[in-house]
Amino acid sequence: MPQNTQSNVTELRNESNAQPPALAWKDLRVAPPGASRPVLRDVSGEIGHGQWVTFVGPNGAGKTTFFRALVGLAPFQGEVWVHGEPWQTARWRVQMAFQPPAASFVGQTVLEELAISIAARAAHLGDPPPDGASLDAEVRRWMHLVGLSTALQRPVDQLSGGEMAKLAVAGALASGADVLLLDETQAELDPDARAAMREVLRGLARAGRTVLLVTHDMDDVLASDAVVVVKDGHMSAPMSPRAFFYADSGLPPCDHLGFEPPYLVQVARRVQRALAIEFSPLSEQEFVEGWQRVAASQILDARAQRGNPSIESFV
Amino acid sequence: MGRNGAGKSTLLDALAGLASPSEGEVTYHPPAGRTEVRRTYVPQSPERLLFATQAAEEFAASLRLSRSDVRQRWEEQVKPRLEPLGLGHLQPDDLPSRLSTGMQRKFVYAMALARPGEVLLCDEPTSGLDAASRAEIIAEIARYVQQGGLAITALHDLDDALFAATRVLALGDGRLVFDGPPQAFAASAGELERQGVPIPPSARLARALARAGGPKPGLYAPDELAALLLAPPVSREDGAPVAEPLGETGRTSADRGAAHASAAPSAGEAGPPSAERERSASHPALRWLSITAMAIAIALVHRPAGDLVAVLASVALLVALSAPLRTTLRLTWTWASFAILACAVSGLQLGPPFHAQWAFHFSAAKRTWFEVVPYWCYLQLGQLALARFSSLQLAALTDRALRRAVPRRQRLVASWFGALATRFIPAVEVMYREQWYAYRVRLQNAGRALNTWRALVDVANVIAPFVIRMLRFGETTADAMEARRLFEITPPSAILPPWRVSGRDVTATAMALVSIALLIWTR
Repeated sequence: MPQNTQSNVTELRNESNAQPPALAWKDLRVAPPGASRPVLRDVSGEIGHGQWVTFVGPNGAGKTTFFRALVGLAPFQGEVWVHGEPWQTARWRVQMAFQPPAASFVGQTVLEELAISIAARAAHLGDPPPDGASLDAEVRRWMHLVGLSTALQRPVDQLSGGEMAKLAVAGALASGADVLLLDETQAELDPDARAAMREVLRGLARAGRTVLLVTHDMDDVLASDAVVVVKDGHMSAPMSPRAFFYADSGLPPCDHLGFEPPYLVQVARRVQRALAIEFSPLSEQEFVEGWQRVAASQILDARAQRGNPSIESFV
Repeated sequence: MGRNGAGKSTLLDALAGLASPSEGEVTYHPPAGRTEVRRTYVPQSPERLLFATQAAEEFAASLRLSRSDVRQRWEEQVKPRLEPLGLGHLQPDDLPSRLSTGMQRKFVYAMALARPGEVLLCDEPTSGLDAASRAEIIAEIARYVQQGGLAITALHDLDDALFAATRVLALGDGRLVFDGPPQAFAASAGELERQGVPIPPSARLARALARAGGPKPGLYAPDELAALLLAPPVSREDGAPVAEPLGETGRTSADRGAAHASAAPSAGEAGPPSAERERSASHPALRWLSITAMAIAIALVHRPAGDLVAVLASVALLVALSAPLRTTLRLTWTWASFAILACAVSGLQLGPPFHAQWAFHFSAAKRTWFEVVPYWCYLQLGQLALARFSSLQLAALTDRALRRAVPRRQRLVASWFGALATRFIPAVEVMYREQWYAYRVRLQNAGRALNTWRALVDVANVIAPFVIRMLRFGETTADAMEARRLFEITPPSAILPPWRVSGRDVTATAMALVSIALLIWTR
């Protein structure tokens, strides 16, 4: 079980060595118009392909500015590569989902919204525009991919928050993007819709797409492949959620940033501390399995060693 | 608690008195010596409640004080409300509507809690806030409760809700499915999930552990759960998997709620999916040409006979193109109120001091009437011109029509501009209605009644935030268009239905031609 921050970072890097990283940026400096000083100062980093990475940090730290720069809404200095190609020619492979999603839809129905995205991809690739029969079929495929089940002719304004979030992601994918930037798209969703969206993002990463999500919800971080901390215009290297929530020594980055760790992590840390064992689960399943493993042996061992029958003294 | 669309907001609206239940009633029992219970309501997206004015004036409206009073008492009365929420730096002259959305939301809470009623109703108070702000808001609500208030909140952060609340109401699909203490809620989480209630992470973990032979599902603070997990196996009930308890506790008390309100899912969230695309809609080009020609012909005639022909022709076209009766009547009603006012104004001769004596000139009123009648035709023809056209179809048609005449770049800008305008007319209407709702909430929180006179005086308090929201929305749209590089894309013409000239199109065109001929003849 990886416990060391450094080893996790290397692990992440190695995965992406086979092909160029989905996104790489070097000496990136972004000063949005009107800002007195740059919001991001000379940050460098990269994200491997097929990864779901969460971006966390206080409001105003530069997370949104970073995303806006990557889709061409904020002028930047420095270099950015998308799949090894310079950003200037490959930027259409990066798309962003906005908040509120309703403000970004041009089509009046689900079909129209996705038809525009499909036409955009055809335009970028120089393909002929789609015809009627294949359009309907393709729209259905994208809807299926993100788990959006509704009528093609459903007006976009009638969709629920969760459905809008899925439509925004489907639109970005249909326009040919395989690097998705989601800026707090989880914030206004109910818990079930958030969990459903996590499943969608998981599936997209597994299928080789790259997802960047700005979030305040620690359960999103728990479910992601890696987490980047943005603070005061600086950016950490991607670290594994395990390193983010469980530190070997000292304050874990999560607590250092002032975030309350998820319930599961809070309980696990107490168990870990009481038994002095490696116990850093990231899901309910991992928690239950780990607990079952240690429950039989470790608890009895620990009690025997300390000769203390009191439960409370362990916690 | 409940999913989106379960009826939480509708219930809060009813409890706040902003929506009246179609059955049942909401009863509050005022404390001794009082005749009524004052309610403070902070609905979802509370930033809409701001009047888009200075901080001092916002507080003045909420506290029912004058602006100068608020300035004088800023340090003693206002600042202590702002500080716990991290807004202590705000000055009376600052504009809260220029803060980030999260800060605006906290500002509204600070205002609501500065002079709260006996009941505080909050809809998703922590939504869209960062971790620190979430804790601040929960702490402020807890403090209000400690001081003797009753807080009723809808919360998405279920763990926060469970550990902070003293009583939980769960809604599933518009019905109350649980009412009881948080412990009982956590214990019957499995049963409730089947009824469509979202389950908090703590209850999910407790349930997973219970299935694996762990402690019984329930509400445990992290310390408590860790202690239970570390307990020697013998102290657990034989370590056998514990069956999930059925939610008897929840069921029996479900009807004992102090407040009864009918809670139906709001129409916006659960609207029925609309019908599939109409493949055989009438031919747009023919329809447009006929309707435009008719409108021009009507504009040239101002005679009784011409008006009669115009009205009859419009009615015939409405029937031929099967326009919805509701819209037709609504437009007629709008027109009628305007027509009556116009005729009255032109015919009426007021008495002294304006005129020698009171009189009504029928001939003047009649003249106006003949001038006003064509406007009814325009409204109805406008309805027909726009009917069953979506924004994208408009863009595709414009693009096709301009293909030969206009260079690509200009053509795409024109097409997409038309599409965006059509797309956002309904969005603007929704925003306006929301702003009006927010204004009513603000008035009620301040304990003021809504009347026409006040609404006229306060019109800026509805319009200013509405315009700001519209601009923000438009900004996001502009960003999204830029990021998608919309103006480089040809509108997909595959979206256009395969229009054919049908018998109905021929009839409509023929009718328009006959009407135009008649109109010219009456002239």
